[in-house]
Order: sequence, then structure tokens, then C-alpha cells
Amino acid sequence: MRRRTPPEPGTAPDDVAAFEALVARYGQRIYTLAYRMAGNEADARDLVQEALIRVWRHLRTVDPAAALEGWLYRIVANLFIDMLRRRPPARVDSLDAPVATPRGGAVPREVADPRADLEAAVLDRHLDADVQAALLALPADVRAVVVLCDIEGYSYEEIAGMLQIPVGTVKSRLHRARRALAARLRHRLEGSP
Amino acid sequence: MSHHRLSRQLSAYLDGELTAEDEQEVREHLARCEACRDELRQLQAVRSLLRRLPEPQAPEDLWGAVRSRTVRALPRRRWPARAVLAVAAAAVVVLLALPAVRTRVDRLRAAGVGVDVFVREHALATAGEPFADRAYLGLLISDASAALAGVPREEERR
Repeated sequence: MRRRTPPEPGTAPDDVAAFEALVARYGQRIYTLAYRMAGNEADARDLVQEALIRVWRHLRTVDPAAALEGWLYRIVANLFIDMLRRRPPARVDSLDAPVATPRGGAVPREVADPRADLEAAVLDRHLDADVQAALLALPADVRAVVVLCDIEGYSYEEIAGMLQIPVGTVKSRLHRARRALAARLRHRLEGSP
Repeated sequence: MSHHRLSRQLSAYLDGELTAEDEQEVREHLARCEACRDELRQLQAVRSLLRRLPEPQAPEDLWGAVRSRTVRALPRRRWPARAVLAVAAAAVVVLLALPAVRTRVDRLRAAGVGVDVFVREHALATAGEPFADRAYLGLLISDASAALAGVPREEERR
């Protein structure tokens, strides 16, 4: 594999100003993406920091004529997919999944259903958590597509450019993601438009 | 297109990402197919649920942490690499010089005797000169001779 180390940005005021502007403009959006990809604040922080450090190191290589946003999200989204693949979210454990036994068998979990008592009042407060759990159940590359499209609002073509995959793949992953989310969130969708 | 293939186009139809031709085909199919209309409603509901999600606010201190590892970190970031290099170079120098330094030390120790030999020879040679202080030279010679014979010097005895 050929690796070319780009020239590191110096403390030149131009580099610093460009980076600061970029963080001011896209920081919160990158955090949102990170949060929805990772599912918790601690991991989202790590993702954002790693991504922005990488952006800073490659700041010199960005072509000012090219779309900065696309470049930025390409770094961020791909890094998130990589990191989340290498480190599957240990904190998320589906309650529906059977528990594996040391002998290799599996037994169903026995968990009290909190909704049984609390009902409607709590439902709204837990909406976010429910949707987030459903997102986390998706594979990272599928999750990235649905987060970029439905939460961040990018078009298929923009997402294809960011993730460097064909538009057809964006389309099929997005459809897969929405169907899986619809199945998991069925109880949330009844009565919605 | 078959029902199966058409149903896979529903997300893209919802997003207006189909070609005019495909869109027309899906629209015609939807008019006839209850299952696909149902599915479209569900996909739409999922999409609007995701769009309505509140934006998680980035923690206040995050940007400071990012800055300290980027724009403010450079001098510190470069330092360790150079320091490691300097320490490594110093270690190499020490290792290479060690045998040479040892021999020099041995020679210096041997010189304790060498100096006395030199002083005595020089004093003996100078003693013949017209204005030489013979008394002092005599003292030097006897002192050097005593040292060579192994008698400790006065200052060492103290």
C-alpha cells in the first residue's frame, strides 16, 4: 500500500483560522452524526476528536475548489464506520436477543417490561432512546447511510460521494435501514402519518 | 417491474430520487397494490420520526479538547519525536565512546606514576643549568623518587 504523508499544517494563522472556521461551521453537525452513529456521549466525543484530528492533519491536502463539506464528511463518516466496526458497541445489548450459554446454546432473556406500568407518559421521553437503539441495531455502514440521509438531510448522490460507494448502494442500504427501523419501531409508528 | 422489484424502489420514490420513468411506474403500481401503499406509509413514518429527532447538543468542553489536540498541540506534538531521536543519538554516542573512555581512564590512572617519572627526569636534566635552584630541584627529585618507590605523598597522608 502506498502511503504518502501529507505536509502537516503549521501554526500558520491561515491554517488555524481555516480549521477554526470549519469547526465552528460543521462541529455540531459532526457531533450529531457521531452521536447517532455511536449512541452515547462518550463514544461520540471520541469519534469527533479523532475525526477532527484527522481533518487537521489533512487540512493541507484539501482542494479548495472541491466541496469542503463532502471531503469533511468523507473523512468523518468513513472513520466512524471503521472505528465502530473495530469496536462494536459493548454497551448495547439487545433485550430480544437470546443469551448465549457457555455450552454454546442460547436461552431467552427474562426482562421485566418497563412499559407495562408506565405507559403513555414515559413513551415520549423514551422515544429518542428507542429510535437510537433501533439505529444501533443496524450494521455501521447501513446506519451511516440512514443517518446521513434522514437526520443530516443529504441527497443520495452526496452520500455516495462521502462514503465512496455507488448511488445504487446508497439506495439499497437506505431502504434496508428504513425497513429494519420500521420493523423495530412498529409500536412507535402506529398512528403516525 | 415485478412487485418485488417495485417494492424496493419505495424508499427512493419517497425521497424523489427515481428517474421520471421509474417514478411513473411506481405510482401506477401503488394505485393497484395495497401492500405497497402500506409499506410506503411505514417508510414515510420512519423517515419523519428520524427527521423529528432532537439534535444532541455537543458538550461545551468538546471543542476546547479538540483545539488542544490540534491547533494548540503542534509544538508539543513535534517535540516527542525529536526528543526520542536525540535520546537515541546520545545513547549511540555513549555506547560507541565507552571503550575509548575506559582506556583513557586507565591511562590517566597510569599517569599518576608517569608524572613522577617525568618530573624526576626533567629535574635531573635541569640541575646542570647555570641558574637552576639546585636545592629545590633536589627536593623535587627526592619527592618524585619517594612517590615512585611507593611512599604516599604528604597531602594524601592527611
